[in-house]
Amino acid sequence: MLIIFAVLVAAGFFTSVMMGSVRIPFQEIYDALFGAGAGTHQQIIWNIRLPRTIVAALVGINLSLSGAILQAIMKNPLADPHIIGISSGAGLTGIMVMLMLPGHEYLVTPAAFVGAMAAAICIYILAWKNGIRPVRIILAGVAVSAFLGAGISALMIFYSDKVHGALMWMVGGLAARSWPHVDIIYPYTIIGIVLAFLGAKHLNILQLGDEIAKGLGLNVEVTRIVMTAIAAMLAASAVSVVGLLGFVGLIIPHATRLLVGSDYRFLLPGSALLGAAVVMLSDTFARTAFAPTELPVGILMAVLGAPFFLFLLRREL
Amino acid sequence: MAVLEARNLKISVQDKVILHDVNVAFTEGKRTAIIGPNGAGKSTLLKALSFVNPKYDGEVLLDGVNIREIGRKKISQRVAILPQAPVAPPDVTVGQLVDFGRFPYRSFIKASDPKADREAVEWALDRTHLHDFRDRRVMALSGGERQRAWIAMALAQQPEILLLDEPTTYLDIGHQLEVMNIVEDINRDYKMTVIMVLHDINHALQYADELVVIKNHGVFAQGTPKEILNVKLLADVFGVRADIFKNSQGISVLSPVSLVNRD
Repeated sequence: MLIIFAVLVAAGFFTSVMMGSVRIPFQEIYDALFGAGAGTHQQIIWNIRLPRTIVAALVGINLSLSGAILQAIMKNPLADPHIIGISSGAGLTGIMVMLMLPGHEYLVTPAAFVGAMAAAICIYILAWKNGIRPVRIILAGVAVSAFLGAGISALMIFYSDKVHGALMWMVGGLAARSWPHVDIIYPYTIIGIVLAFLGAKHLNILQLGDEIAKGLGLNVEVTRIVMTAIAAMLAASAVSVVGLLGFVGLIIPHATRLLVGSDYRFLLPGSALLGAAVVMLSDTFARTAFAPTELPVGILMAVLGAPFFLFLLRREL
Repeated sequence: MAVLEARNLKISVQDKVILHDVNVAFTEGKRTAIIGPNGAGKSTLLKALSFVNPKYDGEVLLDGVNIREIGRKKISQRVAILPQAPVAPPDVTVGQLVDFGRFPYRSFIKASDPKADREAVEWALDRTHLHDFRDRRVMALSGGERQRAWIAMALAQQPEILLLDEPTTYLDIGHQLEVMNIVEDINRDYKMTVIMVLHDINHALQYADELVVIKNHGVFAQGTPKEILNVKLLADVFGVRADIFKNSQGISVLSPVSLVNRD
């Protein structure tokens, strides 16, 4: 199954690089990637399509892993960095830095991480009463998300002259994403993948419930805090690059769970691959389907994701 | 020889005292049943004894050593606990579940010993008669089979002490005996100390060497069933008037007759 996912990633990658206002044949992509190509098409590939495709893949990986981790540690099938407000936390602090400390863009991701972590802690505190209950987490998340969203909107209105493409950012989009954005996100993706995969065994144990996990010698509290930090870091780095892109972290881990099962040693790599493929393909569709108008990929994800959320709500809670 | 011991144990949950002044010692190699009315704190005691709930005052000693100084994973290699009504993800198989019991022997840095793991898992499946169920999904099994799978997971920890919280709840009478016989065999064959919270006092009479009776947040009585279990105790602890007689095997059984008028 993981091999199928990998093939899907390759397909998504080539489709994304191939499709657009100018259609580039496969042979030229191959030549351009491996050094032999020349001319306008190569320029398009190297300067526009390729970096955007890579950003899409990395964002897909980060959000999917973040969602998969959150679903285990919050014991909640509906957990997703966007829905429970972690993305909003990242967004608020990220935007604050962008607007109030211009010229310090390198601080955006660390600030977003702090915001994401603070939002996660808020949700835990609000939802914690004799243990974690799935419904309480979602409700607390909705409240935190709304509160932080209000902060983001307010900032955007006060600084409306400075916010370029604010609307795009609010729904999550990949327009004009290029090499600098790749540089922002890829270290976090690598660190996130390594840490998440190291924690897979622990997440498996955590899925058995806190009491069993403690009985098996797992330090549940520490595991939860560390994994929350990893999830927050992954979500924050994605938010710093594409804005509030929702539902990826919800849909992908669930689809993967249906296809490969709930063993995190397979679920995490599966989610990462499927996430990369889906975001690349969705973005390709979103930017080509209504050409010349380019749809933010976030709109497409919300159109797919909201009904899926309702489906899960009816089935699981 | 006391293998597990609680001294001056006091446990509160949200400012409400659940247990206080609990002093109790469990004998090595014996089967001990903890009985008492609902809400008396039996499960709470089990969680403290296994360090699943470390929020207690007083001491829990494992072979005379305070378990706070032992470390979580080391405790789990020696003490296994099966809580009430555990839930696994829907697609986890019996084999995977039992393998989770090897978690205390695995760590980030050190690779586990695959041979020891495999042997422990085989042994656990063997003892619970689950060899043919290895690839079946845990949550799709019948109640009795599922409970055996969880017991197998606890056995894969290869503990010295096995703690069970009402292992027969929700099971029919045949599956109840099946589970109790598995526990009895393991205790006999491997001298594994078993401490179990039991709902059914007849099970306690049939399967326990020693009883600990919990009432009003403390230990009401402790001893062998023969010494302490009598009509007066049942009236005092459960408010029940009961007949006690011998069955065909010479084991005491009780039959509740009526409620005692409480004042």
